[in-house]
Amino acid sequence: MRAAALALLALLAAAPASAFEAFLGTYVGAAQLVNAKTGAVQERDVTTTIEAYGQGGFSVTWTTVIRVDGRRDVPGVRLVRRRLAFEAVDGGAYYLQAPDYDPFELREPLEPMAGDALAWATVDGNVLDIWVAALTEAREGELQLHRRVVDDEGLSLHYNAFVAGRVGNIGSGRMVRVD
Amino acid sequence: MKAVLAAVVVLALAAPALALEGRYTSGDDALGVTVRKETGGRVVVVLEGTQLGAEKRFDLVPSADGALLTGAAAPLGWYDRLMGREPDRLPFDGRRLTFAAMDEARLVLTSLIVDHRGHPTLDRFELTAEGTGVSLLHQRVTKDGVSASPTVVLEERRP
Repeated sequence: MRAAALALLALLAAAPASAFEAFLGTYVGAAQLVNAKTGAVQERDVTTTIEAYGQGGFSVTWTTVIRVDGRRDVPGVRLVRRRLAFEAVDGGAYYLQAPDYDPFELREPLEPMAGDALAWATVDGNVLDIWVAALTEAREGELQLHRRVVDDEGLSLHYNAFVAGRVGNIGSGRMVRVD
Repeated sequence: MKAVLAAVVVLALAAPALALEGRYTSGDDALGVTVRKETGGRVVVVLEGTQLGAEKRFDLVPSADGALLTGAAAPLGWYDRLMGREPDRLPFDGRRLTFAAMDEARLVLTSLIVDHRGHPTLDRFELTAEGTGVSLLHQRVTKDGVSASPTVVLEERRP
């Protein structure tokens, strides 16, 4: 019995770390968003926190300060804060958006046709991709790719929005890990 | 009476006059599109010879607000029905999330599927009435970026 328990412990200890473990942490940095049609550039300050969530999942919280003419101390500056949690999909190699937890409500299925954005994520080595699919007001499909590539110092950011089958906005940035 | 009027309005929005209704093929018959209106505002679109496969059929029904046509929700298994779960239209487990916006002379059909690795493929087909036929533009978005097939003009084939 004791041997079996020890064997189980050894197995658990040898289990591979979560695919997203290398991404866990808080990062700060800067990013640029370019409108592919007009070429207009938007400067942003970005903060991201990636944490473990539930059983084998993770959450991503990001805050974006959208500057005005490169400044963040003038009227018109916008602050956007978002959080998405992901649960591992049984037997799958990806993570699906978890609904906001509310103990008093049943989990309603996501309904993209009713305006719900649908998000899922994949982890492939040092690349974390978050995909968001949504229906625009113009009744076109929009697909966004938020890519984060981790290295020793932090994250590189890449963003693409595809609307009506074309590239809409392109973003890029760099973040460093902070304590 | 009000309810009947509202239902008529929703049906009218969901089923505009379909100038696009018909069967269209390319000169070499390699590519074909069929648009067919059915009862209750349903629209069937069949694509032949596209990257989706030899023949792909989409059965579309008007959405609740009548602004869109959507693919039907996946049928539920007995356990899910027992648990009172609602059917969904999520593009996972081999299912497609399909919707179409349509006016008299233009139909845009979008289809999203996510494979078992989480990689999406979004196909957008834009069908526009043109003379005695239609033009077809196919765009595809994957993790590798965007690709578009050249616009093809298809002529109507009458039975």
